[in-house]
Amino acid sequence: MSVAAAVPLIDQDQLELLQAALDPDELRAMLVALPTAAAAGLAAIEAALAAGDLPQARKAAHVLKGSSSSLGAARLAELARMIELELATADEIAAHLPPLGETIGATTDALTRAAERL
Amino acid sequence: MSPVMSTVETTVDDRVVPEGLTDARILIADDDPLCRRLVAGVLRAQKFTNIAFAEGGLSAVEQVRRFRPDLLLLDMQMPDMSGLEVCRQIRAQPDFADAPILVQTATVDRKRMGELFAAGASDFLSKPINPSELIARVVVHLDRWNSLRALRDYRERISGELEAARRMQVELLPDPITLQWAARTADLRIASYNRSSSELGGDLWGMLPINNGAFGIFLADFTGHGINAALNTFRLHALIHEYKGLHDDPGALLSMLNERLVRLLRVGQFATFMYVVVDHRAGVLKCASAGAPPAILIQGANGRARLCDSSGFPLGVERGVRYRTSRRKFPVGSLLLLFSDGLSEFPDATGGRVGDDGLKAALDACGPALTPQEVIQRLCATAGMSDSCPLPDDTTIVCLDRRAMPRSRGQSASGHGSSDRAASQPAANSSHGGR
Amino acid sequence: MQMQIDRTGGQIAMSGEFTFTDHIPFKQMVTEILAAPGKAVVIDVSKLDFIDSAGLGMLLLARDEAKKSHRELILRRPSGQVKRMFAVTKFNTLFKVEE
Repeated sequence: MSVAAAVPLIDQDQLELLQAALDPDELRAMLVALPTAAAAGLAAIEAALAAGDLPQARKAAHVLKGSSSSLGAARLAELARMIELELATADEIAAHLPPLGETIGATTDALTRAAERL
Repeated sequence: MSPVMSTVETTVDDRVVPEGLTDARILIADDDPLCRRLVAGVLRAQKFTNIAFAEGGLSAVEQVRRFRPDLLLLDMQMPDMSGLEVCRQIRAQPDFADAPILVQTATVDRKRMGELFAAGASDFLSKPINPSELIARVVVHLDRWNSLRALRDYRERISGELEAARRMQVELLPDPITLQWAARTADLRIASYNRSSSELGGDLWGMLPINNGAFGIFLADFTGHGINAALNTFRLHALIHEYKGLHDDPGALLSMLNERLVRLLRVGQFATFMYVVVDHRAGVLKCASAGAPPAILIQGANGRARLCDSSGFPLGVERGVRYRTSRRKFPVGSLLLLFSDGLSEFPDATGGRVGDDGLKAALDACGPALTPQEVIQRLCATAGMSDSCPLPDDTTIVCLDRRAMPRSRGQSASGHGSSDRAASQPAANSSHGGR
Repeated sequence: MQMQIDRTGGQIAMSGEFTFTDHIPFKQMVTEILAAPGKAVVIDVSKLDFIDSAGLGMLLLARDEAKKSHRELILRRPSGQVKRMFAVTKFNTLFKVEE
């Protein structure tokens, strides 16, 4: 997948900014919470597509983009951004859901490790 | 040396939010719970404690009403209402018309930004959230908003106090009932005009009842205007009433007031002062002046207006000054006009001033059929002064009229002069004597 | 109001209208001229068209300042309204006035 190659999984700079600004326990709790939220976002996009509701799918992608980008999950945020703003049809979006799922898995592992290091 | 270096470095990261800002009420409006938590976490780490949340646009509008935040962090895209609409609705609430709204957005579209500013956004915050940017903007806007509110509160308090002081100063002026009584007893008519250039003025006039229907009229004008001059009018009012025994002796009263004021006033402050005792039985005026503009006197029904010499040191300039009393005839048919230089030196539309001689000529042109308040209106018009125009200087005019009785029975003594004292502010106020 | 200052000659020439709005520049001017050495300080008012009571008050302040520095304040050639104001307030006896 081209996106996977172009954008790093984790935005290390953003994570460092958060680390400097937040209580470590609080940051850890948020990093651990992101995967669950992302999985819920993916499920919401799938449900919207199944219902043929393209705008709803984009809105769900928008929410996913917001939290993942702010918590340093750069590749996840980029995939969500493409679904929200770039992909024109339901088929194109559907084609991006498997890599989105894989990225959620990889992000979960990376963030868990990051949380442990805090 | 290294201590200096480390100080410089730590100030960048450990910038502390100023005390007094951390109890500010901050509302975070975002539909994503993780984003709300993240923003709140950054704020709490900087000791902000008063944080509330809204999960959408509608709830943001509602929370603004209930929580009354000092600052709103608003996510631009929420499912139920656009950030643009949220801004508009919040700005429509009078209490929140100027409070800071920081809009968070990932897409920086110049046209959208313009629209959001027009709808009332104060500033933007980029997404992904940058913690130090967030704190810096929150601090800047809270600070600005606090200063604005402090200034506004200050202005409101001061204007309230000025208004109270203004009312007190109006109460120093003769009340209509006393004026009416004096006018009736002395068988003449009195009209007056008093307006300040700002809330408070440096002019003061008054009537001092003496006996057998005689009374004194004084007109004072302190240097400058505004609060300083106004406070001096209160001083002078108290002093004048302290020397009741001298109310019948203008020269002695002025000499005494001068001695007191010389000791009270700072160098450069003084009052011009005119005092006239009106004895209608004897048909005479007893006058003394401390550098006031000249009184204008018409003696008798066939008299022409003339300026009375009013030279003398202003009160409060030199110690030991002896002011002289001069006597003038004031028979039936006479008219006396006292005024402060706010009238004679009022700059009209072309910058010209009517001056003492201009007023004298205008008074000659006033026929005996005019009531004293009509005379005052004429003189104001001649000076180019209208009731609505701003005054560069405090202005007082007093007109004593022995020319005619009230023109008809219908215009009874109680018909004028007993009106609300507030009416004496812009418009000429009058009291009729006679039957 | 316009002012021209001649520090070495100890002279200020005023023109136009002297009112409350001029108090800051006038004060500065007086401070400046008293800082320069000399005997008398002359304020030439011959080109002054108008003075109000605030202007008179500032002249009193200048006189006071001059006295503190043991200098004499002289008002030169008042005319028109200014001359009339000096007469009615007897300022022409308070100050040394040169015709």
